[in-house]
This record gives sequence, C-alpha cells and structure tokens, in this order.
Amino acid sequence: MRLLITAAVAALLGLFSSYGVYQAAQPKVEQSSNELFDYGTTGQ
Amino acid sequence: MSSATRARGSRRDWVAAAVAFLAALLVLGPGLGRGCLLVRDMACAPQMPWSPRLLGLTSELPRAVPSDLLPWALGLALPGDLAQKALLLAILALGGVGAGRLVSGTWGAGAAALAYVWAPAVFERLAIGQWALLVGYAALPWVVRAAVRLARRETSFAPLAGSLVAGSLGGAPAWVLLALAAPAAYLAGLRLRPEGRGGGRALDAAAIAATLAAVALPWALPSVLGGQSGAGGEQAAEAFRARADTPGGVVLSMVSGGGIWNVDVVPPERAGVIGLLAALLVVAVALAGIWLRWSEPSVRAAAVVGALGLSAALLTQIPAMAGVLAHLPGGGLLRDNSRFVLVWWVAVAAGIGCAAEWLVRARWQLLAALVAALPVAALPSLAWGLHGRLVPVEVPDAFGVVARQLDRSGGEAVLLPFETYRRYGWNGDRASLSPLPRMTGRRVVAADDLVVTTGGGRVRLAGEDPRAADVRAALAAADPVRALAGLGVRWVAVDWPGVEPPAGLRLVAGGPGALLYEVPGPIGGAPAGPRAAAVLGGDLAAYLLVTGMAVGSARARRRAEKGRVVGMDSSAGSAIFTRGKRERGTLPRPRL
Repeated sequence: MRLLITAAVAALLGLFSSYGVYQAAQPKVEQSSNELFDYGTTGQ
Repeated sequence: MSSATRARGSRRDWVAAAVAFLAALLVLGPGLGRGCLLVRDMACAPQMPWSPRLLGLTSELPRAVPSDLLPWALGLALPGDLAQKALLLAILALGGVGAGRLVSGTWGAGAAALAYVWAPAVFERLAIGQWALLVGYAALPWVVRAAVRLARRETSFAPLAGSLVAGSLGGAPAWVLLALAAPAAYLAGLRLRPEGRGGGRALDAAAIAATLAAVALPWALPSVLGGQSGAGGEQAAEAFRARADTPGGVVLSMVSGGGIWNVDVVPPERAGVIGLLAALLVVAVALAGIWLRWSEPSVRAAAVVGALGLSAALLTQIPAMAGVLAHLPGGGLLRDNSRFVLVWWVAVAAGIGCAAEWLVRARWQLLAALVAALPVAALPSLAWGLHGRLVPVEVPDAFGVVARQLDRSGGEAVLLPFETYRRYGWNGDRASLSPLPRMTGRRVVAADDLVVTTGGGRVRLAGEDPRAADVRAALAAADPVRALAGLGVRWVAVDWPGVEPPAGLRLVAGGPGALLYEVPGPIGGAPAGPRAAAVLGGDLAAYLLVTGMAVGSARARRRAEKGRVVGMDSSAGSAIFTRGKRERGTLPRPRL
C-alpha cells in the first residue's frame, strides 16, 4: 500500500514538473512589449 | 533547555540553512553573474554613492527608504552588481532559514525552508523587481517565532525587536507585512499560556506597538513632511488589485500563492489547470501538516498569521473596501493586495515542513522527500533565474560618465524621457527603472507616473512628487529651457536614444546610451526637501527607542533568570539554580 501511494505521488510530481518545464519552455510573449514606457499589463 | 534539545535545534538550523542557501542559489541561477539586474522596480547601480535620497531628504516619495541603504552599505565593500546579488541571496536564504526554524525536526526544517523560498509569490515579486518587499517576507518567520517565544516567556523582547528592525529595512511595503504578523503571532503565542502575567503582556504589547511605530519613522516622516498623503487613488487601486493568474479565479489564485496584477510576471505554469492543481496540492498538504502538528506553538502561530494574511488579501479585494482604502491617507500601502499572500505563505511553508516531519516520524522517508519536493515540482519555472528572466547586464559606460560629471559639478538634473520605466535595448527590452538616479549623489528628478495597460487602454497613474509635477509642467511650457532654469534645474540627462532634449541646451558629457546637457542662463534656486533636522531626528529617536527597549528587555530577562531554581539534584538532595544564562550552581538541602 505504502509503495502504491509513494509511486502515485511520485507520478503526480513528475506530471507537475514536466508540465511546468514545458510551459516555461514556450516562447514568452510580454503583453506590453510594444509599449516602451509601460510598467505592466493588468490581468482579467 | 537540555544540551540534547540544543543540539537537535542546532542540527535543524544547519539543515534549514543549507537547504535555503542551495534553493536561493538555484532560484537566482545565472542572475548571480557579473552585471546589474534591472528588472522593473529592481534598480541597480554599478556604483552607488551617498545621497540625501537614501534617507528620504528629497521631495520624491520615499519608496526606496530605507531599503536603498542596504545596497549602498554593501556597496562600500563590494561592487554595486555584486552587492545586489549578495542582497538577493541573503534575502531568500534568510527567509528560508527562518521558516525552517518554525518547525521541529531536521526534515521538517528542510522542507519548510525549501517551501518558503520556492513560492509562486517569490517568483512574481522577483519578476516585478520588488526585492525590498521580499526583505519583509524574509523577516516574517523570524518575527513569528520571536513573538511566540516572547509570549511564552522563553526569550526577551530583543529577538523580536531585531527581526522587526531587519524586516522594516525593506521600507513601507515590507513594514505592512510585519505590522500584520507581529501582533497576531504574539496573540497566538499568548493563548497557549493563560497563566501568564497581565502586566508583562501589556508591556509586551506596548513594546511591539512602539517598535512598529519607530521602524516606520524613516519613511513615514519624509512622506508626511513632504505633504504626500499616500492615498493612491481609485485608478491605482483598480489597476493594482489582485487578478486571477490561474484558471481558478482570483480567490484560488491567491489561495495558491499568486494573484499579482501584472500578467507579464506570472509563472508560466499557472496559466493551465495542471499548474493550478499542483499549487493547490501544495496548500492542501500544508494544511494537513498544520493539522497534524497543531500542538507546536510556532506552527500554530504561523497558521494564525498566514490565515490573517490571506484574509487581508481577500478582504482588500472587495470593491467597497478597496474604494475606501483608495481615499484613506496611507491607503496606498494596502493596494497591490496580492502581496499579503506572502504572509499566507508563512503558514504554507510551515505546513509543508510539518507534513514532511510527520511522514518521517511515521517511517515514510521516501514520501516525506516527495512532499518536501512538491513546491519545486509545482513551480519549476522559478529555477535558474526565473527561467531566464533575471539576466545581468552591463550598464553602458556613458551612465558613469554622466553621473561623475553631475557629482563634480553639482546642481539638480532632470532625466529624459520623462517616464518612469524604459525598455533599454542593452537590457533585452525588459521594462526597468533608469540606473542613473542611483549612480550620483546629486538629485536627478525622474518621472514618478506609472503607465499601466488595462482592459480599458493605457492608464497614466499620477505620481506624488511635487518636484516631478513641476518639471513635467516646465517641459510642456512654450520655452522649456527657461522654465527648467526657473525651477532650479541645471542639467538635463537623456538615457534613451530616440529622445531629443529641448532646443537650446548645451551638450557637455556622455556617450552612447546617456548624454548630459547643461541648461544655459541663470539657474533659480531648487527647493529643499523635507526638513532634514526633523527626518534625522526621527531616525535617531527610532534607533534609540528600539535599541533601548531591546537592551532593557534583555537585561531584565537576565536578572530574572539569575537565581531561578531550574531543577533538583536528587542524589545530593540540593536545588539547582541559575547564576547566569549558562552558569548553574546548587543550594544544599536545608537542615530540618
């Protein structure tokens, strides 16, 4: 049982980290990149 | 405290320190290389000379008071860029160590330290450049522990005073976090000891209130004397209110450790459902950990403080509340309400530590290691300089040339383009402040308006520096050169290639990247900032008050400790009493 739970948690961590690394690897598009003097862009 | 307990505590602290330091190294990554990190609010100067600005003695809003004293002081021993890196490393590592000390056990301490450094809010605040706010974040767990120990009569007021002073070096935004945490942690500690003396509690409460007031003086006095209300206004309140940075809406975004207003600084994984689930799992495990180790006073206090921080973030999101705060003097301190999530993360980090420690004690080491690694798995983009967002750059030499000319010649300068942020090509087109005002001891009047793109278009949020407003008006005048001279402006610096200064100025120094022009003709007198005597007097009073209370409290505790019976030697039948902190003696059994 312990092994099963540990394996499930390890798989979950693998999924999370792979997803995060994949997302981070996507080209970053700054919403306000065309505005020279912008502080930032508000979300929704 | 027995020697075994002390040894366990020491081992726990070393583990927390090692984990926190390694995590901080991993977070900053390539950002630790030579060169300045210029990221939105994070300014850096290759050399930062002394300036009255550091103490709030100019008319600008004291946003960087006293936080800029830290890179200035470190810059006395290190080059400016290395001082910046040392500071960032220290902030993250010390925060982690503090969080580790909230939890018992080496596993718990290591896991809590990692969770505190590896937080979504740390990503967002580093990406927006608010390192000074993170000074307060780093001090929070130290404040919580010191307040609990004070409430339980385990220590004097000195550790709490020290951690409040250290945290308040981050300036007003950091102070708000501490002002929220310190009283709550003390009260949470008190509830555990109902037999405590009322008089001592009143004295403690007065000392906490007085210290919080005193450490606010360095930025509050210049602000009040400069006539700045710090109200913020409705537009700013709306622009900087928390936003949903996950698909779960604004409440779940804040619960899961984010919610910043600026979409450009959100960790990329939070855009998807998996990222949100991962962040929520961190919180769920933390809550379970707190429940399992609720009996630990520091953990309980961290939970209370964290809950208060989350409540503050959620309450200030209510439109009616935000509207009221927008008009209150000093209400601007409470805008950008997602920053209170930093306080919430004290509880989350402690909870993760508790969960890991509980699993280890249940002989489930592998799962404990996975739980400790959960915050990292949920936010891998925090690694390696926020995945490439922290890139050190070389400030063009021309900035140094301009700064040296200003220092040699004296007089006030105006920085063009008259905008607060720019996207220098040499800084990878990242939005940043100009490094020039921090590179000279002379006053460089820069714009303090903030341009923010919202759903309704671009919004210009007016700053509060009256001098900047005068300069903006002078630049818009029919004869800007004469208007600037009349204001007492002697120099015009230009640090953007496409900007032409007003016609009639004489180029005197500079090079590619920055140019300095002299304003011809008779120059009027520049107005003085807030009264230096009043500000410096306030700073001195704050120093004396806090030092006096801390030293007095530590001495009183040492006196109380002396002669206290701490145990019995059953073999000799004598009482063991204390002579000093570590020194002990015995009293013979009385003859009956």
